[in-house]
Amino acid sequence: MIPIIEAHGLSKRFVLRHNRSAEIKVRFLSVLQRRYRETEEEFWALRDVSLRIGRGEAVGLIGRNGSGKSTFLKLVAAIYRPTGGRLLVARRATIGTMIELGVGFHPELTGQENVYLNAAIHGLSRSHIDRIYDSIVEFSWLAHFMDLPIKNYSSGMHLRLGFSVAAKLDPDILLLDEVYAVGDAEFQKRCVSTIEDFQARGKTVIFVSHSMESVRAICHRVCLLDRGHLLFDGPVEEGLQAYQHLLSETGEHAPA
Amino acid sequence: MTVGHNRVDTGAIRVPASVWAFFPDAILAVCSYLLAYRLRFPGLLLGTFLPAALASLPFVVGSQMTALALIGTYRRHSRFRVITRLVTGVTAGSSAGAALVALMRGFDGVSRVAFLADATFLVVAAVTWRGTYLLWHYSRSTAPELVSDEGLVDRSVEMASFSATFLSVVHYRELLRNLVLKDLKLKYRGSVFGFLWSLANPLMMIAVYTVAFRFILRVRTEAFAFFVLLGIIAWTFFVNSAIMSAGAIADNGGLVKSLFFPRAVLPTATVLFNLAQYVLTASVFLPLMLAIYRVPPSSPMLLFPVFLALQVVFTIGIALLLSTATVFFRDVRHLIEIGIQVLFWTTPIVYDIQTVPDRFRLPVMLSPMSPFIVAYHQLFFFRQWPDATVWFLTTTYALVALVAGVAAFVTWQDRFADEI
Repeated sequence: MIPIIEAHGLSKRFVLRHNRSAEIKVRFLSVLQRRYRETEEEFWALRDVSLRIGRGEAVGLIGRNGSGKSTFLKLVAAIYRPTGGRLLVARRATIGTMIELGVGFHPELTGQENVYLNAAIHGLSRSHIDRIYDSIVEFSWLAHFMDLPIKNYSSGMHLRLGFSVAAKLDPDILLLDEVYAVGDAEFQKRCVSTIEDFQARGKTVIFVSHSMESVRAICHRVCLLDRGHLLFDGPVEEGLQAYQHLLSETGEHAPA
Repeated sequence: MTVGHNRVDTGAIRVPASVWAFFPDAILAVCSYLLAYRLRFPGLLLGTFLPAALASLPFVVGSQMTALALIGTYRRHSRFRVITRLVTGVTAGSSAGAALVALMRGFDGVSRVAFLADATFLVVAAVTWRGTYLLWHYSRSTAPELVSDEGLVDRSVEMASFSATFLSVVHYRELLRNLVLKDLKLKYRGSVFGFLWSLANPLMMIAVYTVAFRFILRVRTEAFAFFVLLGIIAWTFFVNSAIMSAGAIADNGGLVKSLFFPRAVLPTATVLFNLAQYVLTASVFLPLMLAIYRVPPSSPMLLFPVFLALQVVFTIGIALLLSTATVFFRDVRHLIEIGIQVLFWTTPIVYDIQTVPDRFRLPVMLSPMSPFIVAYHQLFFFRQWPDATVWFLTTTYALVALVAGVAAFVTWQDRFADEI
């Protein structure tokens, strides 16, 4: 296995400030009255996670809400800086992210303008975008709507455009955060086939999902996170069973 | 696998730091001394100027270059320390040179201001050519490709440096272009008069100030409207950039929290957007005013791009500072609002710096935007070459603001996503 991502004792801490206020009035009151007092709470979104992901792997990240899945993606994308440990990524690997739907799109701009803006956010040059523009439009099935401001788009169209850009950027590492669950069955099928095609060409996919079905369809390996800790790392079926077990322990029901 | 290493060798292009870098520096040292000397004594004829300058030149340039070499500027080492070494070396060298000249010939005919200006010019020139070299090579190097490469790196460390910040902004120039275009399009989209609105604002301000000063306060400046225009449009560029940049990071939480791109692009884009508006406004009003007041074109006007560039550098530095500060202290926006009110009147926009009483002239001149505005007045209104003070203050302000801005931004940018 040629490693493309390595996490060594990776930790991320957030400081949650209850009653946070920088106001000087509140500062005075807080000395006198307890309910104004600011309290700080540490929240470890990830704690001491070590794993290696190889080139061409499709890894599913599963776990309950708030277990640190998205935080892990954002650390890989270098959006957050780790509090502890190290996260290493292959030097020249390009990273494509679909972490939140429609971020980087501006509602007043047309579809075409948004494609250019979004691709530029990912660091592409003008000529590169010109080159892939047609294939993005074709892939999104939105050729007819590219001159409309995307505030007129439905959420499905939004999603299609976003996914098309991310897919046609053709990154070495694709980070997907559940977004595609909004699309219809037809679109989901296309997503799966795109991701399969990705992997066939030796690209790496990290996929966050609550849907067992799509994890089975896409991933070859599953990492189960719980409260920031890595509970399980291995084959898909065992991982999903471990997840079911975790859910039944806490009395929650697994989604289909 | 090595995990513990902190410094990642990026294998990137480096600033030339060998004997070869000595020669451009030496040539620039000669040039900046001559320039400083010339600016200090603008009245001298070339016949008397040259011998006087050349008599002290070998000592000054000699000690500057010796100091630079001694401090290790031409040995191979990492990138940033070059700037520190240049500043220390030039300061030490210039002081030594000044002392030498004073010892041998006394301070007669040798000006301390000239030494100060010389040192500034040399540092600026030396940093500039190295920076240009880096940028030129970087823009030619290909974008990261999909080539397999065994080396794994920690990107958060790689990004958190001075040069990485500069270079990544250059690399993401297409994003810069798109952001600026986006703002320009959105500003005028759907409005009937479009770009004309950008002309209405300065026009109204000029009208109001002209009535107030010319006709009510009876200020006796010829072509007062032209005078005010020069200051107003440059001032508007600065103020709008400062106000917009305060929200550049704080108001873009969605982007910053879910996409990776060099954060410095955002404040830089707001400055460039306002620059675009400034250039558009200036290209309408300047020729118009020159025509109305029958001002003949003159050679000092050619320096306009130089001072504009200095103002842009200065404004980008301020924008980086303000955008960083706003993430942590929301009060910054209120401070800016008040600060602008004060700064407007401490900047010679609606009055001429020459009419300011002697004891207030220096403080007014030191106000952040003053040297830039005075420069524009000198270039276009008085049609004269800018004096040494203007040169010195504009370059110093631009450099100091940029260094402070980038330093603050680099230090705190990895906490942006956590804080907003």
